[in-house]
Amino acid sequence: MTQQTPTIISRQQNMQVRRKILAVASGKGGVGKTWFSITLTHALARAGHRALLFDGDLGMANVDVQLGLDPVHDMTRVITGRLAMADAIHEVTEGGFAVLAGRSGSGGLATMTPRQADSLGRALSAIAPNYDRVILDLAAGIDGTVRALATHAGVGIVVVNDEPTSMTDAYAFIKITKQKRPDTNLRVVVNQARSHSDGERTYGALRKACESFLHIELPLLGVVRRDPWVSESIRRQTPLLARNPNAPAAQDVEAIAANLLELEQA
Amino acid sequence: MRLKTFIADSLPQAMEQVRERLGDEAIILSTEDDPEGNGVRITAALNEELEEPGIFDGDDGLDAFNRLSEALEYHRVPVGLSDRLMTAAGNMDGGTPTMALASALDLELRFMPPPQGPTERPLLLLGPPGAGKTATAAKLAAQVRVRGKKATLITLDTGKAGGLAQVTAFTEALGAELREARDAESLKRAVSACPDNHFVVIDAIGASPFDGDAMRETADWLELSGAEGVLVLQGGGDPLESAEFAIAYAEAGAQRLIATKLDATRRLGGVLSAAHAADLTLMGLGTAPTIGGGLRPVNPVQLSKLILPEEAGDEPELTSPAVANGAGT
Repeated sequence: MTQQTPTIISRQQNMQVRRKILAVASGKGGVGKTWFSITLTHALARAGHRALLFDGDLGMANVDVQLGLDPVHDMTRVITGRLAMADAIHEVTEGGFAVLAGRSGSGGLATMTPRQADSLGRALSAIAPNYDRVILDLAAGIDGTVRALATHAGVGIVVVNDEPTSMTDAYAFIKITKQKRPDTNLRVVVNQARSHSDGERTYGALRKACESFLHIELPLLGVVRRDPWVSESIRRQTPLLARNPNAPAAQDVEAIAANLLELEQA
Repeated sequence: MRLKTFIADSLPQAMEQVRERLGDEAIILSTEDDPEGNGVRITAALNEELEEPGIFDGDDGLDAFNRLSEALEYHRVPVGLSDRLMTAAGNMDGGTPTMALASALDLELRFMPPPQGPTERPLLLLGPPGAGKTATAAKLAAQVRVRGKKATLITLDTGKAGGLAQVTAFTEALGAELREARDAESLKRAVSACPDNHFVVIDAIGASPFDGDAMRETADWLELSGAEGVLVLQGGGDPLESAEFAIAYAEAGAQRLIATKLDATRRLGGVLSAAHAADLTLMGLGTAPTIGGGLRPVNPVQLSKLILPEEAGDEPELTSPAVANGAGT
């Protein structure tokens, strides 16, 4: 009896930590997942939350490139345990959020094993209590390392656009995540939509496939409109919310951040 | 899921195309006016189980299961680890039993190759007496030297009869430098005297893992020298004994494992259970007494091939050890 209590407490803490970690996935690459992760983190910071963005695209890290950060740390050192994760964090002063990113100098991260990805996820869970929200930008694809990292997140945001390949790859990610971790809270963001109603149609098609074939409900978190300001801000390596917070895409992501926070209150 | 978009003049025509191409099972995901003004556009999908069956599914599944579990049993892999490996292998999609076992090993164990040049921290070899620490130190230095890099061997084992003569012979033959240390303090000085462009390997005194004083001394060496602990353990030992050894050395600070004397070993359960129980990274296998070629790197696929016999039902021949030197590299 005395031995059970700590287990229960730590399990509750575990759940709390998992709920803080939001994994952003897409299945297919090129749908604007990394841009969305950065902007969502920024929006959460603007809403007064301490937010950390983790670049989980370990083979092709490019959060630092989009933000124009000088790669201060080599993530290989974190993976091999030679540098504490907390010491590798970079503060983005103009955004008010923290970033864990960095290229692998040796290229060793591209060949990371699922087990190494899992211990990276555990290290991330260990520093998560220092933040209100941790955004985990996953690599494209659904290989073992992506799945191992994704299991540490309590919420999964699946980013899609209206291309059929994006739809089928997102569906594959959803299917495999629900198989491995049925309690993951999955939500959809439609990016690069021509309009809100167009984005909702794209979401409707994905929802119908998931309901018919997987028998799961898949709520919509929001639609982000196609916006020339996005590529402009990426080219200038400046976060969109710093450059033009009134741009349509910026406002859409802020609405999504508000939506997320509201859902957690409920 | 198979997804297809159909464009037709009218909805019934589009629906007819869907039925023709995807059959009656297809569902309609969305319907809209074609933005280019060519009538109506339908996106339809068909549920397809594209997933390959696991290696334990289907007609050959039972054979694969038996083959794997028999191999693990032959190698005396402890039940706990064996169960984990079987479960992980069964979760892999398709492929051969060898590849499924390789994926399972990759999931359960850590692997890294032996260094090929200077390392950030020196390597300190520890382990029970007679495990082959001195020969392994020489083999590690040799791998670095053949690549034209410099190496220093520091020995703590100067008291053993003939010990110094042995390492002197090794280092002279390899063109490596030799330093001596007597205790943690002098080891620290010896390490800091080594130039940065040297690969540094420290040959420690063999100690029983169950001798508390000796293990505390080992921990001191590691701490003061800032070295990475590499357990050198003889293969073929009792799996549970090997696991307990490994855990004791890991508590003293060992992080890596080099298994030795595998040319005289047929069963790998001891090596696997030591690496797994103490979470040690498998850094190499000692496969021959020769200093030049006797240390092999090992990856999950190679290890899987060593565990599984070539063909189902093949018993390894009595004359062949588990690891033949040079095989599979």
